[in-house]
Amino acid sequence: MYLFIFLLSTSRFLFAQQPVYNNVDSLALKQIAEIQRSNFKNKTTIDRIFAFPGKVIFFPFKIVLLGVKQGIVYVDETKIIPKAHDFLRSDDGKRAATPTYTSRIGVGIKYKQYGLLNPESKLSFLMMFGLYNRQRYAITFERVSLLEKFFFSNYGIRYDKLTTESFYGIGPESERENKTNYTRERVLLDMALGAQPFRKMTFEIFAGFDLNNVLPGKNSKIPSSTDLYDAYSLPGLETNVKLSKVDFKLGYDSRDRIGDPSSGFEAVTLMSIYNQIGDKQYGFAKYHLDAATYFNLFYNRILMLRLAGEITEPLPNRKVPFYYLSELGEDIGFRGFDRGRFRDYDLVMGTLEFRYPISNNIYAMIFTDAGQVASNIFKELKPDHLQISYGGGFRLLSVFGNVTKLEIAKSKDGILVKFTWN
Amino acid sequence: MIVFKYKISRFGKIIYFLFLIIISCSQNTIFKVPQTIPDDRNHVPKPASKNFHLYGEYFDRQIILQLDEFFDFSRQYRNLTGTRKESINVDAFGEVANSSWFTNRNSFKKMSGQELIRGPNSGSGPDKSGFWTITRAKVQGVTPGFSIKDNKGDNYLIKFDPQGYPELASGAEVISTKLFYAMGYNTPENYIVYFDPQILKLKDDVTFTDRMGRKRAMNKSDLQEILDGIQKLPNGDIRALASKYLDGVPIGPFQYKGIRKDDYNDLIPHQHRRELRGLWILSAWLNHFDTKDSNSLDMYVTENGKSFVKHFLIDFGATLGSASHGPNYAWRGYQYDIDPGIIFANIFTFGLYIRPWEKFDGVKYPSIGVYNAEPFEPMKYRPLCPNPAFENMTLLDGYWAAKIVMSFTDQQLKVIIGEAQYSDPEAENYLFRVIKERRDIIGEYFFSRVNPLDKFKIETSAKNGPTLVFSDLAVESGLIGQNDSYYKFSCMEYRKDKPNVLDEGQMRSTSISLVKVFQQLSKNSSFKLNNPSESWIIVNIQTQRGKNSAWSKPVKIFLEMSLENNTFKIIGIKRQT
Repeated sequence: MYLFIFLLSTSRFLFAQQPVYNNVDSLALKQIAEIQRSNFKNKTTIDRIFAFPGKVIFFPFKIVLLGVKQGIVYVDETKIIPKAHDFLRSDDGKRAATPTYTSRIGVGIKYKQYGLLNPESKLSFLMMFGLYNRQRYAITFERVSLLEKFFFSNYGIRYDKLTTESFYGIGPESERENKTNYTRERVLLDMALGAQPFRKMTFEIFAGFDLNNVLPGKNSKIPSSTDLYDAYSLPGLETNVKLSKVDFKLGYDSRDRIGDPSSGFEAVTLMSIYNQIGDKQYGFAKYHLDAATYFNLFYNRILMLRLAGEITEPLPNRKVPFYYLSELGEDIGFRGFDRGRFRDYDLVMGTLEFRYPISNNIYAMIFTDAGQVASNIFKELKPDHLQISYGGGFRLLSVFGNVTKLEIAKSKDGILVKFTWN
Repeated sequence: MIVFKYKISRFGKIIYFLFLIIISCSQNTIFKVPQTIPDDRNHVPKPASKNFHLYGEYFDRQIILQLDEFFDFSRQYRNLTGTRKESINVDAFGEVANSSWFTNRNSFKKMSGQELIRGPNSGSGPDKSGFWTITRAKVQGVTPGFSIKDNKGDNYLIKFDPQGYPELASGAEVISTKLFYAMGYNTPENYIVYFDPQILKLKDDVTFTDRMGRKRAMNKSDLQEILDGIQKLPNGDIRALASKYLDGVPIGPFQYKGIRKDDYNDLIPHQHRRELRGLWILSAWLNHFDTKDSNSLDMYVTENGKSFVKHFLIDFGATLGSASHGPNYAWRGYQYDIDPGIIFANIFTFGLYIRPWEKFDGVKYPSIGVYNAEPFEPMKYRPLCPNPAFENMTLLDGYWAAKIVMSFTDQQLKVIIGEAQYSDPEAENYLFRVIKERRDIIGEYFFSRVNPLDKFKIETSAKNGPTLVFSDLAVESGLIGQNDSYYKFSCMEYRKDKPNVLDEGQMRSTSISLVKVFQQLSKNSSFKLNNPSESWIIVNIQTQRGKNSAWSKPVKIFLEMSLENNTFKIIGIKRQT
């Protein structure tokens, strides 16, 4: 046997013969195969030597990637994702718990129950936690039908403890270096009555109660707003501010797709009146307009134009708490600036965004945002105070309808990267 | 922290550069008789079964393989210099021998209409005279389906057409099965069946994995759920595809890279097999974009008293214009699912460059889906994710595949398309036209880059003496007219130092008389018969299409001559690319 193997390994002539395997045991077959395989290798020694440096460079990455692959295989084999999905969602799809994330608070879980009183109704419970003890709890009951479905109503109660809110000062010239932080504790109860007279149009009236406490910020790396200001210099910097509020909201939405529109128009107008309960210190009205239109220029190349404005008007002899001033920053889609970067009574901003497909369900985008805050937008709009940012990013649409966004924006404050999963 | 710093010296760089030159020159030997490839249908013990992991494979091919190849500098250099290594399992004529992977069929000998219709089938499909007992069910995957056992005890996998697209997946699957079989690959027996749902009977202990990943007993409502999602004919019958279980023991898919180590017949790395490299072009023809490992299957079979592993291509529901679950996406076939090159190009052209597939209007025939001849370019065809065998393909592998594609005549294509039993003759005509046009595009591409002279043989007659006869495949397949084709040849005695030209000339016909060569050699005392490699004669043939066009690169035909018998024997062919 071994003589036979030896002959095979030393004689090239023998390789050309058809090996007869029938009477040879498995071990011998394996050895014969190994010898023959060495004869059919594609790479020469010179190839191997030349490829060696690259192999060495790639080796550590390959180990990591193979580990990732094993992780993927494990997830696939154990079916963790469908099992988790099954665990979190009822068979009829009416109850579901979903993980959620926002940069303002952190991670959490939302439990939803559909069709409790009417098929469209949605009851949800939300719990979120984040660093610096940030918290949010909410119970909402939406789209409850009234009067033969002509009206619908929403009910909600929410508790927020936002321990690292930013405050840079008031006015268009606030500086990045003046950043402070504060804690905003808030309890909000509200109910809304709405109607959808046309398919694309909704009208809602909200009435609610709003309790606010402003406390020292929890981020010790930057000063606390409460150390630098007081309620006199910064109205609202106090606790137990109880407000009643009434909102009138008119919405129009003709977008072809909600998460990933390629054409259509969307507009929201909101008028709110806030009044302090008990004390007569705070009271104001807010007028807000936000409109965006989408054009499919050619072959799914989409141009989006957005215009937003807000006016905050104190009621006679009343003040506006600083956290209810108009805020220009990341929170209202002004990329490249931190949340609440500029505050004042009024704001105006515009966006021009161009999205184009770069792969299957992946879009790239380039955009520019411009806007400013002012104490009176009609009198004090100055080109010098106009803030501009620009940048680009990617949008990934998942088969489940989620939109994941990565936006990189450049502004006078530097480069800000924002990741959103929606 | 320890930091290693090493600067490559000038001497080191020179050595490295020399390696490059050696690598690029290493294939320039004039002719070498390839090693004989042992038959891979010898008796071997059963290899272990392998599981496949769809997402793991996807990650492997899309990320790890791409980076691995990027850092393989010898490979990069060969790609840049066009000196990629040829397939290992080819004979001296560039052909692939019959094996457990491939059997030369239509390109070797034209198959008759009956043979094409029969394809891999051994019978006529599931027996409808009795109940079909459902033994397994599949809810996961692209399309739902179940396995049945018919009255005769045969097992079939039943697959359905997507809602709104009758005949789409079943038609594509039958056509592609028969074409891939006729090309030479091992395929399952796939039948189009029409059946009354009443003949379905659920076996008591059928378990299945539902959409949520739960394994549980299947009940009648589960069956009804599957049937509810299936489009029915006006008479309530269902059209489906019945795929017969393959004979033997399934041992998991084959991989397009490497070997199955415990299969002792598996000697050649799969990425260097011509039939797998060339499958790129064959897949491009039929838009078989889903060429992942898991769409293949190795079966441990016993044939002629020997047990060995036979390699099958399976699941052709996602071919032609079908994506199994619906019509194909327009971008499929033009880019990988994640294609970094295209993504980067798209990013930096800011959407101003419109990919040709973006202009497609949509589905014209629901039974055909999205399958076009414009703008099809075979070498720009991309499967769903990178395929290691395809990425090693050379022009000669492509030429080999093009020969197979061009071997199908219009009539043969019509016969095979007829097997899909389309109810709309217009749709059938459209499909025929696209398959034909894509075939011709492939032929035009490869036959214009590789001199398509083939089927060389020596004919000897008393009147004309020995003659080298060949076929011009471009003319034979009707791509080029015979009147537009010119050939020039030179016959040389093979010598390393100085080639001795024995005869040369130009002609319009596809035959070369070797009489003069014989006479010249008879006079030449230096012609060494004792040393086989030095008694070779090389015939270089070049082709010109039209009077003023450039001559093609030559095909070299290596002849061995016996002065005693006055005969020539073709020992090999080398095509210059």
